[in-house]
Amino acid sequence: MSQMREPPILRRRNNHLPYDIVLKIMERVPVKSVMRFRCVSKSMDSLITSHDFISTHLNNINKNHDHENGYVIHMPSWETSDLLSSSPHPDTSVCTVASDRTFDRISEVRIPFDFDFKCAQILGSCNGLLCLATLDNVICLWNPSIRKFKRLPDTCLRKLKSVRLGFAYDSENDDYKVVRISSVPYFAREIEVYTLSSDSWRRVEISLTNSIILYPNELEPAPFVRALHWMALTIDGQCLRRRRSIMSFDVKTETFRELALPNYTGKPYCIALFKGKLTFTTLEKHGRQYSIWAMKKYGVVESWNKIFVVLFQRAPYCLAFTEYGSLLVSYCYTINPMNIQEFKFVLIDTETLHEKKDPDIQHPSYVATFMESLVLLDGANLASY
Amino acid sequence: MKFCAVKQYFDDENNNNITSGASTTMIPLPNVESHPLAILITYCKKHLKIKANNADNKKETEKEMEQYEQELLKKVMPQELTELILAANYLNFKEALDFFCRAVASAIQNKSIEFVRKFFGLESDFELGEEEKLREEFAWSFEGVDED
Repeated sequence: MSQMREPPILRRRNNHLPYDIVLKIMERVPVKSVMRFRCVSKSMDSLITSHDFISTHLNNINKNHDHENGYVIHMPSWETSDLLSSSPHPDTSVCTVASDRTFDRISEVRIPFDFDFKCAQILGSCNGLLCLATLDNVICLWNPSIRKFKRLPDTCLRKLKSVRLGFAYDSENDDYKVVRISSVPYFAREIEVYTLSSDSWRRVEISLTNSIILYPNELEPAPFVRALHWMALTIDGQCLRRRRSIMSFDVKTETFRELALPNYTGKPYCIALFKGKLTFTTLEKHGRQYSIWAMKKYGVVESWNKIFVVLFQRAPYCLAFTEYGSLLVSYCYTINPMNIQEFKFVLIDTETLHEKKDPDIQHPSYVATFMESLVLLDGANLASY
Repeated sequence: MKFCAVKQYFDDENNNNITSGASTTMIPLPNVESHPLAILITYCKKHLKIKANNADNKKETEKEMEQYEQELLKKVMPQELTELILAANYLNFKEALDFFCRAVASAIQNKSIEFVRKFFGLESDFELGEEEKLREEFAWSFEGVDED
């Protein structure tokens, strides 16, 4: 039936937006403002602190992520301040947020919890949530953007020997995990996993044979494709042959997998997440030359490809590989006769080999990626400051 | 698909076997005023044009679209944003809805609690003292708020 329908005149009496639209808007408001809007109403407060809202808000941040502007956060490592240094002693309780392109300082945040800073490090960073750990098993999760932190409960295993730690995000279960592994071979190997959703530790059955040693990661252990990675050495008991490889620990299935390394020359140095790929770096020429290999297709050994070779005038110490594609390295000079240590830092763009001298960092530091998010807001046993 | 509500109308008509004068069919949109509708149509046309110009280059499309959106925001009054959102929502025009929601989010981020309540027509349903407690806990988030 064809018929001209007269449009009925309908005027909205009340031009207020429906609740689901208000929600859509709130999901796009920056973190600091969203925290303030918790005071709008009780229902708004429940909404903002709900797990669904936090996840959607995070997805929006990641979707609209300005690829031109990423951030890093760095914390001075204590070890160097024991030495006589030409720069003033760093305040290891203060972290600096900086641009990941230029390392220009943006702001400083003080670590709000009591920590033995002499042996602390940034273990990892996922979705704006940082994990800091000390050598004597004190582990904290901290989101500086919402000013909340929590100290992890005591582990369920006795003190482990040669601990390797890792922090990662299990995207399938939308959960954050901390992994503790003892890496000494020929002793009883133990692994335990902490999950944020359960706020507790749990032992995990080991699938790692006793003849494999996991090396501590020089840099933030690369969490990539939902797995943590360590360089490993396998000693074949029978013929005493040693084989190097990468061991990956899948945070969802909680199992290990071995990834073969490429046919490299030189000394293995470190593994890192670099421009979205798992990379492996070797040293040659007495540490002056870095050869960086990338696994173009994760898990496919044939896809290892040497992507960059960088030659330095003197052997540097590598502090970080940024996601954008730069290397942050430091040089240590000893000034005689007082044996004072002086540090110089350089930021190198691996593509152009352009060097930025004197980026805004004065001490060897732990460096991690950083972003703002509401993650941890719905966690249990939180402290605010 | 833009303007999904309108497409739905055509689909319904096809299901009823309407054959006459498709190009002159009047589609009633009782909940959309002409001004926001005009802006949405222009937005849609521009989006399609930019997409066509930059066929395979998604990054270029995004960049040009962003520039256009910034220009558009300068011409739109803040009060009109609510109308535009309601219109885009009714028409089921996802991209425009997303854009205008982002625009509002950006516009209100430094506003006070009172402003936000008024803007969304929300009322405080806190018990006595609860709001003060929260305000104290997040005093740091109140720094840099615009004057009303």
